[in-house]
Amino acid sequence: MKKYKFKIIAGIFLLMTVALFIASCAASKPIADKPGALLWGENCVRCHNAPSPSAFSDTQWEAIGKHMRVRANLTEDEVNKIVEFLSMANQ
Amino acid sequence: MRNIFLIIAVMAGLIYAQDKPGESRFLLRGYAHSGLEMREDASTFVGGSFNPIFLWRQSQKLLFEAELEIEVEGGETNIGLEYANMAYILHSYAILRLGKFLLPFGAFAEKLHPAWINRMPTKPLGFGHDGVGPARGLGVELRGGIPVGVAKMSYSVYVINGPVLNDGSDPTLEPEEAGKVNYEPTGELESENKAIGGRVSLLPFSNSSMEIGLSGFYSNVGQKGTEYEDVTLFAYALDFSFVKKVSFLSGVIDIKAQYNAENVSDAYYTNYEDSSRYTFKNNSSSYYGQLSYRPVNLGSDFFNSLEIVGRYSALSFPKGALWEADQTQVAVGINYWIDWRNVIKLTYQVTDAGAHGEESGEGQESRDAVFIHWAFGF
Amino acid sequence: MTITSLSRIVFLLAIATALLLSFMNASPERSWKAPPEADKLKNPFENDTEAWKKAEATFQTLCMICHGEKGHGDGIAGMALTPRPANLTSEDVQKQTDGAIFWKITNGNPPMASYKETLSEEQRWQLVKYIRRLGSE
Repeated sequence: MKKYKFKIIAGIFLLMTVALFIASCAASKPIADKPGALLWGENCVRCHNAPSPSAFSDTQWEAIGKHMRVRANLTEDEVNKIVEFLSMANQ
Repeated sequence: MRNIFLIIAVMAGLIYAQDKPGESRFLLRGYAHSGLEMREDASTFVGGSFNPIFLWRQSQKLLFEAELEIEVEGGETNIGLEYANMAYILHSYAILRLGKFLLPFGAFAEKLHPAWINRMPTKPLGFGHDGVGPARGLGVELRGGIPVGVAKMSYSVYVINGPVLNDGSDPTLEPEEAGKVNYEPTGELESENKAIGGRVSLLPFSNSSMEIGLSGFYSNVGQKGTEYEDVTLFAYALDFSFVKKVSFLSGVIDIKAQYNAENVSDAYYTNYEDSSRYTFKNNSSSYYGQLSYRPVNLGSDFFNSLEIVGRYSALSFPKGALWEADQTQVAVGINYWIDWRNVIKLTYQVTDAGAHGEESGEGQESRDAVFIHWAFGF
Repeated sequence: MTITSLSRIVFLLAIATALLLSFMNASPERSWKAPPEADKLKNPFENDTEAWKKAEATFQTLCMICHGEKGHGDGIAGMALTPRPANLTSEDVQKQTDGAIFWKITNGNPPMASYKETLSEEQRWQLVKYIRRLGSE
């Protein structure tokens, strides 16, 4: 059991180091300055494919935005921008 | 039958609400999957499950959401309530939830299990029903996300009805599972305790590509007035997620990993067969690591729609318990994405149920299996 | 509930058909054409070889997520969209007139958003120059 734990923790640290290395080339931009298009792409793909804007209507996106705000711990600013982008891109 | 009436009533009410003008927004969403499973000589249609999600945004601040799970298993249709809760937005960084909700204990049970999100047709070992750690609860929760410079963090704290220890004293309630914690007690095993728990996560990069989460869960689990009164459970989880396009690989890599652990304080149990007393170190754990790769510029829509995925998972139940187990599983697969929420998964899975699994007749699980599944979200 | 090999074949055929149908969906991408009057629009930055620089930040915050950092149509959010984001460096895109590309940025075609309101006319023309630059790289 002890051995297992050590391996897992070592494995996780290895993954983090590799990921850190890869991610280090990403340009840092405060989230507050990001437009909806970027926030949509970056946040949705954390769990699932970025949805096609044309999949839902404006009012449907509003309900989905609330749902995902709770599930993914998004801030108000992020959700508002994402929903605004999706509503603009679906027609 | 009563369940079906209830569902129809809820649907009718919500559809009525949808027609009302003004602030209400109602939406029926969800996911479903179905497939074919082949084990050695037999092939079976399995996993016919349909999970409708009802979303009702009542106002700018109030959201009601509920998910049902309708599953066909062994010729029977089972209907279960996955969750039903109200979320009230307190301010930009805080949301209050009340009701039955998926617990942020790690990320898999809360976010990654739906069939069109999970890259595999099966759940990792120890992450499904009868797994390690809690998956849902009835209570109250405070949660939110907070920007921290160019990074971000998220938090959640909750109090729910606590789980109950199976102390083996009731011969009708699976006494051979003495020492196991029942997270969703029903009927006679009603919970008397409250559990507290929470999760904090850090998204260190401004593009939110990485998330590292730490979860904890604590509860008294013994029935009051019995010798197990002071038995406690402490569970914790560590989860990791990384999704990023990697230019030199011409594709997107997605890494998901989680480690769950459960520690129940020491207690003596009575063997239901010979009334002898025994004890064991009551620690369980499970973990999985998954890597998937999706090419993005191979020049052909067909190849760009493919995804390869591999997953390793392991489960360990305490040595000395009558339900002791040590299992590992490897699954590899190739997925074809028809669109953003429609996927066909072809998976090969090998499970090693360990020596104990063979003994207790669960050796079946050791067999190799091939799955062809279709999953979609709607 | 075991099934015969015949029904297994039927099942696999059904999947194959579904896959085939999904390829057919991919064609609308090619059929998106700007109206002929768009070709007559003149890029005010036509001879300004530095104009693309002003569009770099815009490209990175609005376009890159789907079209990719080099415009190959390989951004992370575009990978599951139908139709897929255009490869901006491709001949299909580069052979279009500045006016046609400007018209497409302006009007959009879901899932491609319309930038009529988000970006000024000037910014959109600069983006056209940026796309030209991606094509020449």
